[in-house]
Amino acid sequence: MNDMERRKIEDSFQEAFKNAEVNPSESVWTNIELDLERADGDKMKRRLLFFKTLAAASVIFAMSIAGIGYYVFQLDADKNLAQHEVNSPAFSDRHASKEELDAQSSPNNESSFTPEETDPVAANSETKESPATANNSRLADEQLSRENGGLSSELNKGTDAVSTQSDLDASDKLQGDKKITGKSGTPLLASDENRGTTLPDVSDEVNGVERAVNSPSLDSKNSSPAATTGVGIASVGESSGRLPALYSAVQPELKLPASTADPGMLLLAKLAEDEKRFAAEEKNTRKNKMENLWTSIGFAAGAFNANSPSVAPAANTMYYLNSASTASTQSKASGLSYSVGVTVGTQVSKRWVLQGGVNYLTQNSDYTANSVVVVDNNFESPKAASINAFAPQLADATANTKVAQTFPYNVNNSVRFMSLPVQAGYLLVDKKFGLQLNAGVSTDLFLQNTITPDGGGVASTTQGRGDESPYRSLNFSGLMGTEFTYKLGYRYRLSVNPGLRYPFSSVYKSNTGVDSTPLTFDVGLRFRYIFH
Amino acid sequence: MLSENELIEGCRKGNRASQKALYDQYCRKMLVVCLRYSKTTAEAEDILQEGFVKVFNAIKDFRQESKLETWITRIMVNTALNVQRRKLYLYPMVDVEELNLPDTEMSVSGIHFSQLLEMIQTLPHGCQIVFNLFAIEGFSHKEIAERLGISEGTSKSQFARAKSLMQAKLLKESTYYERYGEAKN
Repeated sequence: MNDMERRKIEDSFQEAFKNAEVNPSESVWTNIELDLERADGDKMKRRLLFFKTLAAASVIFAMSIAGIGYYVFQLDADKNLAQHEVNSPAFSDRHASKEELDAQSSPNNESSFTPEETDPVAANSETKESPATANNSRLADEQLSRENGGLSSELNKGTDAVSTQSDLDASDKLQGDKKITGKSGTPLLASDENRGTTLPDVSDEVNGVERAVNSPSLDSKNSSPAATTGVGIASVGESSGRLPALYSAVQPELKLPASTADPGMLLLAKLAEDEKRFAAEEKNTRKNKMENLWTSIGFAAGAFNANSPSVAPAANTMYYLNSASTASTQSKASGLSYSVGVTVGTQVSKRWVLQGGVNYLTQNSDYTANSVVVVDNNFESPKAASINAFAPQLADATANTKVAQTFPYNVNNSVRFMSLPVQAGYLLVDKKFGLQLNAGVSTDLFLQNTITPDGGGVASTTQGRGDESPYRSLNFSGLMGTEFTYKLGYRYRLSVNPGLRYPFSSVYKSNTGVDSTPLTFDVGLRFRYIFH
Repeated sequence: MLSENELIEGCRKGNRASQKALYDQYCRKMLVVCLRYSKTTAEAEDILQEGFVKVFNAIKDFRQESKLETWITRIMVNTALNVQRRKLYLYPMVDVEELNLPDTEMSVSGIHFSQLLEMIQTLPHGCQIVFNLFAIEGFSHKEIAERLGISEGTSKSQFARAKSLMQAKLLKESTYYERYGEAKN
């Protein structure tokens, strides 16, 4: 077939079909619209899925961080516990004294020592020179005489002797003489570096000894001094099994004995002062680090889903046909949500924060409407119809507004709220990087909604608070979210907070017959200024 | 009444009213295109629906280098071919002896498009598609062969058979016209 012949056929058929038109059935457009709606729904679902995934991921992340934090904290606590047990004076002294005793002969020194056999101070006085030597030897003599009832004078001397380190040993020796040294048979106060941690308890013992000495009922035979002096020792060395940590919150009170002129006591007092100063500094540092109060500005953007609204049938059939269609499209419309606001927060405890503020919230949605409102029979300038546009017609037959059906046209509905959120937050991580879980309630004050049609044929409709609007003037929403923060300096923090907003009741008034509780997912960015 | 550019802009924004207006403007012409490639109206309407959904999804990529109607027609033809390709897979085209077929001139003047449509719809699947592509859309046999995944010879022979069948139908129709003074239907 040559080109000419082909062109001839082509032309003749194209001419035959040039103005050919066949009307399709109505169902074709309905099906196309359904397909397009489905595609839009899929897009929204994908968006929602993204936000849901983000929310789920943030919660999982928060829980993982909390779990790791808890594990690390527990591990540290166990390590500290083990270290304290190892460093316990009772533990070290037991060995030290055993070695010491072994070195000092006496084969039967296990449980019932005689003063002569078990007196390390006495042994020391024989082998090395020390400032306490004279005192110790005097004590040894006095201990011997105590066996014969000379306890009172001996204890007075012993009490004075407690002032120095070697005298502390002498004091223990005194207890050992009275067979109150406990199972080890050795003094529980160590002479090594670890003793430093036991100093506060030493003072208790010193006081205990002093009290025991001053007691008129002291008797070496019935061991009443042991009953008094032994309490402090037993509570440290045996009942708890370990010494309290130095960093413990309860600060020991050190009482200076009457004879403060002693250098040992001065040392104790100095240490006590250092301890107090250190504790005060630490408290100040902690207080400075704590973010007591902050204020932040921020904005958030996200999407809201109409969340299967229900449209109740009205009594009037025509009203229902028109209004249900408009109500259905308006209430089903999903869209985007934006908010800007100011937040104030405070840390009420180590882990809990409370925050509230004011937000200006806008929710925009697009949908197709098929009716307009005509005022005073002016059909040349119709206005976009809202859910409640049909109410005046029903309520009052003489109303000057009419609702007319039109070809479908696209409108944008912009709803504005003033939102007052109050949230409690739990700090999972409170370091340079912070992680916080928030939950709370928001009081939403409806401001206005504007329905703006595309194109110029139909005028926009704005409805304010009160009777003219289909929206409730006051509504409450539940809030839930996560807040990731990063400290930028001493006074600044940046936070990203994905969150959910869900109204407790329908955003529409009950007389509209529409029940809709749109679920909003948004991600906010806030800049925080901290008042320490 | 919106201009074509306004319609396109509205459709690009996903404006449902613009989409409806565009559909209303072209649906009748496009249904004829779809009817040429199908056997029944229901089948054609399915193609029309699928085609318009593609139009609305792809209109943001329409660069207006061609007429909007031409662009939409191309989408309809492609959609129809996609639907018919499944059938061609089931009923593959075979070469037909051209030599045994009469080679007379084809004249469609004075015949209503609905009758032509009916004739085209009664052609066998392969012949119908090749005839549409060659005689009406203006594709070459090489292009048809590439589009349908057949040989050029098969395309030629299918067209020859389609032409022959159409000529027979046209002859029958003109005989009827001559005899009774008006066309059927």
